[in-house]
Amino acid sequence: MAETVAVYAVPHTPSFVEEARRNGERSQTAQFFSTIRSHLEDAKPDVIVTVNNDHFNTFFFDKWPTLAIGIGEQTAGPNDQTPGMPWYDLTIEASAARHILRSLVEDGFDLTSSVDLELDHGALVPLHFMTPTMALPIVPIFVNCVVPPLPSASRCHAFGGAIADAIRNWNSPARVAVITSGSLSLEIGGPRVDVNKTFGVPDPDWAAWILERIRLCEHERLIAAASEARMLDAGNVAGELLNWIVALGIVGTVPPTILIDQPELGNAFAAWGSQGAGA
Amino acid sequence: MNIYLIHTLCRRVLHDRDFRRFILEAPEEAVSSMPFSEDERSALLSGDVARLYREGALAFLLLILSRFEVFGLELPIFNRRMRTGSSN
Repeated sequence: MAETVAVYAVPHTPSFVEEARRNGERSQTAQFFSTIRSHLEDAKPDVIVTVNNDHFNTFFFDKWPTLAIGIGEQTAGPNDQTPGMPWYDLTIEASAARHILRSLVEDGFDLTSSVDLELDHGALVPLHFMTPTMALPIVPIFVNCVVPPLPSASRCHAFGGAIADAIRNWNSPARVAVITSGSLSLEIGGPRVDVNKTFGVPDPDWAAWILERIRLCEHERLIAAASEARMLDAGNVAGELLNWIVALGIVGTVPPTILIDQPELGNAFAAWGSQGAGA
Repeated sequence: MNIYLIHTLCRRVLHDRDFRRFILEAPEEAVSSMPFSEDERSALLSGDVARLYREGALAFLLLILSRFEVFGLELPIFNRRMRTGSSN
């Protein structure tokens, strides 16, 4: 049976790519991702499951899923012209994707599935930094974190548990890493952005409080507090916390082995090893 | 307002290179190629993103107009209008 060997929760800020290219090793983001990448390389995964939200690029309002999965053989991106990012062609581990889809539906999570999709920065910024050769096959999973009504935090936590079960029950010797991504407090383009910037961090205290709950394994307290209204108070894309909560559902009540705060950007980087990966 | 149509225009600016070129070269014609009301058309062409936002358009998608400086929405202008709610 397959094994979840590592779980990550990282940002997917699209400007990171160009900033890291411009500043090289001086880039704080590149340094943080380098730490996470080393952890991933030590975990030696065969397959990566990505969990993130789309930003109106893979899906649009004509068909907007709450939960979705890509189950085709191939995908590519970024389909949103992420500045500085090359075009990547990726393999989807279709047998895993179809198994995970079936397992999740059997567990009561009725995902939308797609055999023909491209990816935006939400999935690809973490992969760009963590697996730049894009040699590993992926299974892309999507959670609606930006268009109300959002799925509840408790539902996303249970979704993470169901993903962990699906991986555990996959009849394969594969080593699986899960990369979830999103920001904790972030406003994009809205009234709460900083002067002459495209973004703002409306509620850094909320982001810090979240990280403390994660550090102390107080997941239930975090889930109880993370209502849709509370998350969106922290920014118009701060519902991306739900991707982090999926990660918590996968790992269980285990503290991360790495937890790096990036408060000025409303971001953080977290890693869990195999002891906190659905074990 | 037909917010779905406003969102569709924003998404086309990002995803449809020909439409992006069209709207940058001839904004009135480009907007007229979609079935906007006169009110919607006026708000778009004047770059009144604060009003579009108040009517329900998502800031995330409106920001695409600034990214490509459609309707004269250079970042300082877009930023000021969104932050203050002003049409100017």
